[in-house]
Parts: sequence; structure tokens; C-alpha cells
Amino acid sequence: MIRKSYGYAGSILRVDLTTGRHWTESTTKYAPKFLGGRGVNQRILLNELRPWVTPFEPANMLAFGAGTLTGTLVPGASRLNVDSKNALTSGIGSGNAGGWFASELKFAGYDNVVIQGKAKSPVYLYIEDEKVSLRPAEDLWGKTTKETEKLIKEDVGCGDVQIACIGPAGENIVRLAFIIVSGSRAVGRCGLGSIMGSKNLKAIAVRGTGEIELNNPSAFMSLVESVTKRLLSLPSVQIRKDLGTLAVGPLHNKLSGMPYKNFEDDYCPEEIFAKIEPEVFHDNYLVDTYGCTACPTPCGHSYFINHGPYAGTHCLKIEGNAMFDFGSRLGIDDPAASLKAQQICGELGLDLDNTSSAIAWAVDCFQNNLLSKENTDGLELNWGDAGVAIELIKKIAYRDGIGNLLAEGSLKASQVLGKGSEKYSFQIKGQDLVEGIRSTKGWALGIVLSQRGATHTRGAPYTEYRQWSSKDSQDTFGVQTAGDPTTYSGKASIVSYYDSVCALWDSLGLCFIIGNWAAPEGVNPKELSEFYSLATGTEISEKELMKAGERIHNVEKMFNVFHVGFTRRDDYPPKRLMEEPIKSGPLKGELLKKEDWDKMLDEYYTLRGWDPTTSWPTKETLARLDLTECVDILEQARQLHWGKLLISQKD
Amino acid sequence: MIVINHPQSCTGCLICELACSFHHTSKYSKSHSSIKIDKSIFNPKQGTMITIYETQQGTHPACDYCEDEDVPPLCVRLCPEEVFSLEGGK
Repeated sequence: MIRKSYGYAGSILRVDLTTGRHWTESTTKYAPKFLGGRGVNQRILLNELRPWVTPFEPANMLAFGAGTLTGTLVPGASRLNVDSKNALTSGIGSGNAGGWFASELKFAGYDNVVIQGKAKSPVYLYIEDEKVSLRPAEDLWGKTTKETEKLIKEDVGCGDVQIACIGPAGENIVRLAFIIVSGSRAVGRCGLGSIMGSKNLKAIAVRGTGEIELNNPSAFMSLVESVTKRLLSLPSVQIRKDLGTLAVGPLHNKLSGMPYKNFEDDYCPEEIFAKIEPEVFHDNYLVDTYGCTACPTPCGHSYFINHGPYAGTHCLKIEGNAMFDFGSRLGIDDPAASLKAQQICGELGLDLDNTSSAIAWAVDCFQNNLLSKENTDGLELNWGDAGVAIELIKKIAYRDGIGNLLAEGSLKASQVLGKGSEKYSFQIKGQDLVEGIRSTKGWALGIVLSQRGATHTRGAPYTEYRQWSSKDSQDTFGVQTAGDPTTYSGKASIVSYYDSVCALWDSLGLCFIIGNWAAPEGVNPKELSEFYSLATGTEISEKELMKAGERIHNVEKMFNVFHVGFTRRDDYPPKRLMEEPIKSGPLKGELLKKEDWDKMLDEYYTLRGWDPTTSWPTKETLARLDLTECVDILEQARQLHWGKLLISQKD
Repeated sequence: MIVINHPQSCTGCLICELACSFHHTSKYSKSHSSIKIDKSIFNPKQGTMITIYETQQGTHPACDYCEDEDVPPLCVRLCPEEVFSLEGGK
């Protein structure tokens, strides 16, 4: 085991749950080419997972990766990336969380932990530096994430341990299940909690007493101090600290980007929105603020409800998406109900985005007479009914009654129900869309192109909501339109910039909020290259680092090509968002026009070096990115998915 | 000496803990720090327990107020909530 790798912990822990065996390999096998965290996870998955393996088979793998800079004092360097085959799309599954787990993993001596196989009975993995063991977890099975945290700390006899665990939803292999990290941060989307459950793995607990060594400590620390000082002066960072990511809500509604009643509209009526504005949460319920490792501007807020029907609820962390999820999208105007829904989802281990999407689909179906009380266990599903939404969350977690159908996610549920109910499932590649995309064209392109399915954290620019100036836009992306929401022109360039940069953040282990996403003054790729070089001693230029980000993005693309055969056809928004304009709000009338969308796609594929007909990377592109080993995979994918290729060529 | 002014403001970000270890070892760790942060997110009323080791305890070195540096101690300088201050000189 190499413990003296600068920046890196030096080792990857491999665990086979079927045999109980564990071993290590050197991180240098994959780094610096794939950087760390997400990049290394994805490279291992593409190397070792066969396309015929389904998500819940023991042969599927689950990789946890701390970033290269995680465990240092680079602002926001707390992040953990978890990757596997996606429970919803069968393509790449990938999620990212903050907290204190990833830094603890580095201090224990591991950059990544890769799980394979399936335990005969429930277990949890305990890591204490070099000591690695699988411990029985029968007594933890059925427990909530909060109870699991407490019981594991008692079991190992130490409170100073970091835990990533699942709740009952993951155990019940609900495709909407997530992994809770450090009690309050979530590796959401892609059903990664259900993958953990399918392996009988209740949790990973880690305690580390080691150190992270740097190649040039004094210069590294000087850069940390100067960057931290600059970040603390930014209003866009300060508002996240004051209001958490809820702060995004008003920006979205202002640009008609807030889904209302399952995308009937993308503008939340003012009388409802006024009740769920971020300040309402802040002024009435906020009790604590907490920060992930090395975060000078913490957005972690916890809330307590001391009156009304949800009195006694303590809700740890709520994200901006919660205003869409158990708010505007379901027509719920009660912030206390949103907090209660968040608390229950967190403790039962359910991703809010995908869970609320399944519920929104069910309500829409009920309202359009495709579901009745006979198949909803007697529940009447109406917009704005928080009580029913909360009841459905519980049913989904335990696969009870209608919950058993919704546990499959909105797309699969609609395929079971049929009767045209697909029109109420707003998904991309099989994963649900959460936010309004009709008005903001760059945001839409990034979300739709996200390789894990609809999500804004894989290349969607925030520049439109933050209204970047044309100068900042030109300086950063080489086009002037970043701040203009309704313009299609130039957006492909901006998305191709951010999908590389997002791969950098997730591989180096940094938080979006401190990056040059919300504001141009955030940490930029040049500074990332300086941090990387000073930490590891491997000199890397900004250009080389961006190429590494693009390489990681292409590895994920190859996973989707190889495992599912996604083509250009899978890179379009839900049909209704291309046909039905936004009904109200400042950007009323906006929709995504097919011909303009096609132009953006053509431009994006050209920038990426991907074949515009199929959307697949060309051999030349793979060679340019030093991924010649993927050329064979490309050929195998052509054999496996020739039918999909044929259809894409006919479009 | 290092004074803890308002522990209730501590967010548990561990910046002070890691910065302190950096002062002692030029590396980042929790175990070679003179500061220990224990924040319970599940029980906000409990607040944060902040320990400054005045004497060495196991791997934790004693706080030396960063006496060999010309600038204020790292924990004072880097804590974003200004929880620490240096009083009475080094």
C-alpha cells in the first residue's frame, strides 16, 4: 500500500461481499489520468462491468470515491462520489454528496472503496485505518438512516466515525432510494441506495487517523488562504450560506423555471410561492447551520417545527429542489409539510427528486382518470394535498400497495399502467426531470444531455439564472450569450465547458457552490490545476486538466454506449415540453423548439467530437483523449446495439 | 492563549482542526491537531464541543499558539465564524 502519495491517500480498497475477501490496489493504477473520485470510479466500472449485468445482480459494482483534494483545506473539498450501474436507466449511475465521510476515508488511507458481490445476510463494512471488517447488520435491517447512525456508533464504541448508509427504501430495493452520508447529506438520484440494498450492504462506517501529505505545503496553503478570502466576499456564495440552496427558488420562478402541478406550467402562482419562499423557512424554522469538511460558507441548515400538525419534526438539510419537489410541483403551499416530507424521505432513505416525481405522476394520472381509489389503496390524489403525499412516501419506502408500483419510478410505473400514462412521466433516459427547462435553453441542454439521466449537476450552466454579463461569458466560454436564458446560440459551447468542469469538481472532490458556476469569480479550472499540481507534485496545466475532465466525461459516455446503446434519440427533452408552451409568468410562451434543439445538438456533438447521427464518440476523439482502449468497446457496442444504431440513422 | 468566543457559531467544518494539524506537521489530519470539534447535527440544542489541548494527549500535540509564526494562529485566521481569538499574546 502506498501511503506517501502526495494529495492522494494512495490506495483503493476492494471488497467482495460474496467471499468476504478484501484487498487493496494502488491509486496510481488510475491516477493521474482519471484524477480521482468520480473519474477513477467510472474508469473501474467501464473496465470491469459487463453490459449484460443488470443493476441488482451481485455482479454489479458500487464504487465510493473521495476526490483528490478532499481532506485538504481547499474550500468545499469534502465531496464523495458514488458510482454504479443506474437502477433507473441501466446506464451510468452516479451521485455526489458532502459531509465528513470522504475526508475521513482519505484519513483512513483510501481514495476509493469498490464493492462487488452480495453478502449472504445483511452486513456493514467497517474501516478503521488498515483494519477492515464486515460486521453483521441483521439488527440494523429495517432501521431508519438516523437510527442506523446511532446504532453503528454504539456498535463500534466510538462517536468519531463517519457513516454512509441506506434506510428501509434501499433494503426494499426501491429504485428511488438514496444513500445518506454523515446523517444528513444524500447521494441522490440513480437509485444508488437500492444497489446497496441489493447487496445486503446496510452501511459503510469509517474512522481514519492518518494524514494527507502535500508536495508543496506552504504554497498550497497560501493559495487556500487567498481563494478562501475571495470566496467569502462573493454575494452569490454568501446568500447560499444565509438561506442554503433554497436561495435558488426565487431565481427560478422569476425565469419561469419552477414546475407547477407536474409541468402543467413552469411558473408557481405568486400566492403559493409567497408561502414557500426561502425566507419563510429561514425565519420560522431554522435552528442550526453546519458545514461539510473544509467549507467556509456552509449551506447546511437544520429546521425544527414547533407548532401545527408536524410539530416535533427536526429536518436536517433541505435543498432548493425541495421547493419544486414537495412544493410547487405538487401544488403544496405549506413549508412545514415540505420539511416533514424531507425528513421522512431522509430517514426512510428516499431521493426527494425521484420520489416526488413518481408521486406527481400518480396525482396527474388520478386527476386524468387513469388511476382511481381502487388502485390507490383508497387514497384520493389531489394537487396540494400534503397529507396524501407524505402517506405515499411511506408506501413507496415499504413497497406497500400503490407504493409498490411507484417504487419503480415514474417511467417504469407508466409502462406497467399503460393507457397513455407515459405523458405524465417527465423523464430523460429513464430518470425524472425535476425543474422547469422550457425557458432557459442552456440549462435545458445541460440537463437533457446529463449522462446519468435528467439532472442539473452534470453540465447545466447556472449562468442564465445568475445573469452573467456578456463580458464574463466571452472571457469564460468564448461566446457572449451565457446570461441570456431564451437564446439557443452559444449554449452548446457553455454546456461542453461545464460538463468537463463538473467532472473535475466531482473527481477532485470539490463542491459546486465554490466553483465558477454560480459566479464567474468562483474557483476556476486554472486554480484547480494549481491546487492539483501543488498537492500532488504532478504538474498539470489548465488545458491538460480540462482534457482530463473531457476524458472522464467520455468514459461515462462510453459506459452508456456500451451498456444501453443510448443514441441521439435519447438526447431530447420530454415531447410535451417541445409542444406545450409555458402558460404564465415572465417567460410565458417559451418552449423548446425542435429545430433549434437539433441545431444545439449538432453544435454540441461537433464540439465534443461525437458523431452527430448516433451521438457516439468517434475513434479519433477517443484517440485524442488517450482512450484508445475504448475503441474495442465502441466496436462491441456496435454489435450489441446495432438495432438502436439503425433507428438513429433513419431519424 | 486561544479563547473560544462563541461556540454556538461553530458549523463543524473542521477548518480549524485541519489547519492546526497543518501548523504542527505541514500535513492535514484530525489526529495531529490541538483542536477537537464535536458537533452533533442531530441535536442542535447540544451545540458544539470544542476542545483545545493545552497538553499533549496521545497523538494530539499541545497548542503552542502558533508561536513560531509571525502571523496570528491559523485557527484564528481561518475560522470563517471567528470563533477563536488570541488574547494575552503568544
